[in-house]
Amino acid sequence: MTAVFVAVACSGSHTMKHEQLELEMRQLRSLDAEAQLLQDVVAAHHSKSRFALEHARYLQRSAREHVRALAHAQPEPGSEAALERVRAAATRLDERFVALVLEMQ
Amino acid sequence: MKRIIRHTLGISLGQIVFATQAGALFGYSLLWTILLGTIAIILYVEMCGRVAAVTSEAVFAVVRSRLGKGLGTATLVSANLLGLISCAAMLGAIGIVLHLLTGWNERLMIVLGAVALGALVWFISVQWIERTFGLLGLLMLAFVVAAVKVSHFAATAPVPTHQSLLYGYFAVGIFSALLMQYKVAISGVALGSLVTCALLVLGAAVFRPRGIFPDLLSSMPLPAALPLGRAGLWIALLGMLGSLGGAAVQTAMSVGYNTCEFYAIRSEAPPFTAAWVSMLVLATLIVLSGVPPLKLVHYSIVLGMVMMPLTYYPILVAAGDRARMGEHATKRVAHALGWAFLVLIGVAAVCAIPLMVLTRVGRP
Repeated sequence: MTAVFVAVACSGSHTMKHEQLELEMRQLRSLDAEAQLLQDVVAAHHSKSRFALEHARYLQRSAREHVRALAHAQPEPGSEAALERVRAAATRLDERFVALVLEMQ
Repeated sequence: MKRIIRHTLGISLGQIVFATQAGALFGYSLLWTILLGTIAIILYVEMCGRVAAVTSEAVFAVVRSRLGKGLGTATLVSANLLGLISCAAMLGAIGIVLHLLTGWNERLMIVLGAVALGALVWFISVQWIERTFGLLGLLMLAFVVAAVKVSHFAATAPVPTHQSLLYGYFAVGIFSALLMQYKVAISGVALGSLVTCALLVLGAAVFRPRGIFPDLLSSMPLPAALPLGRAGLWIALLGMLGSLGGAAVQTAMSVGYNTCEFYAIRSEAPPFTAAWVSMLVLATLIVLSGVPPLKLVHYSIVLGMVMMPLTYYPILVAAGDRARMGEHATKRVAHALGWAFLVLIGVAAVCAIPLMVLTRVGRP
């Protein structure tokens, strides 16, 4: 059973299939929407808090991990353009989160 | 009041994570698993208590006598491994919550959290530990208030076929998370289930319409902030801290209890202390190695489901044993219900690992 857990944990491959790229894109959209939710909460209650700043930093860290993983990824034949699109989206999100962290300070 | 306080310890990281993520993915359509898990754990807790009261045998003493030394030892080792993974996840989560509250370094907060929990267990009586974490854990009711404020029950759309495996994974996950709170009283189970429902509703009402899959622990209290503002957020965070602290202590000590029960060692003996201290130290090292607590909690919930039949079956058989339990043996209808749940638990246990692999540990 431990072997199964280790196998699952280490199953990340450098070659990204089309469906993995779609998964990456969905995760990036989710992070983006969550940043919007955080901004909505802060705006609705007119309060910036330690939580808002630290949560923004966690979001930023998460986006950075995507940027890093995508930078090392190899596309499947035919998925080159899709990988570039996801990479660009991740980079844009990372830049957005830099601004978000500054906004929450 | 004491009973209520004791049972807020029934809310674990697994319930928080799985319920919120399930709500975000499938709306209200997995609420039934909370009802099912609640009935199963109430049956189990009642049987454990009855067997202990009549025969003076705790769970792992029964496991040894019913499963034999070989399978019993394997169950003990698996349970302690599960405890270690769960404790690591809990300590990691405590570090994150303390970091969110203070802004101090997360790793430092993990170490401080582990030291504080160790000191509490060492210096303070179990009753006071329960009261402290129980009172703090009651603040989790902020999620219930928030859920009432934001919920808008709408007809749930059918689950798309391509997501049926994920639906199955989260159904098993919620069921397992509820079953893993077996060291709590029935009043606490009910309270824990209420909060679990609230978390699922918040996931469905706040995250789902926005297309958010909450994959960070810091995302979990965010829905409480939407209707309740800053005060609600702080209350929710403190509630999480209390619940996680209580669950971490309980998990660390359960290794000592399991081992002492299995080998019939008095709980005051040095092996008990050595077991929970080494559990806290090992769990701290695991989480400091950088494994995300949310990953750990997914593994622990799946492992918990896989080994659940091995603790459920011996208790079910022992509780229904008329020769030993006499007039306190399980009545016919309750016994049949117990067997029906054992079948259900068996099916969930068989499906748990394949579902985890096929869904890439619950990735949407």
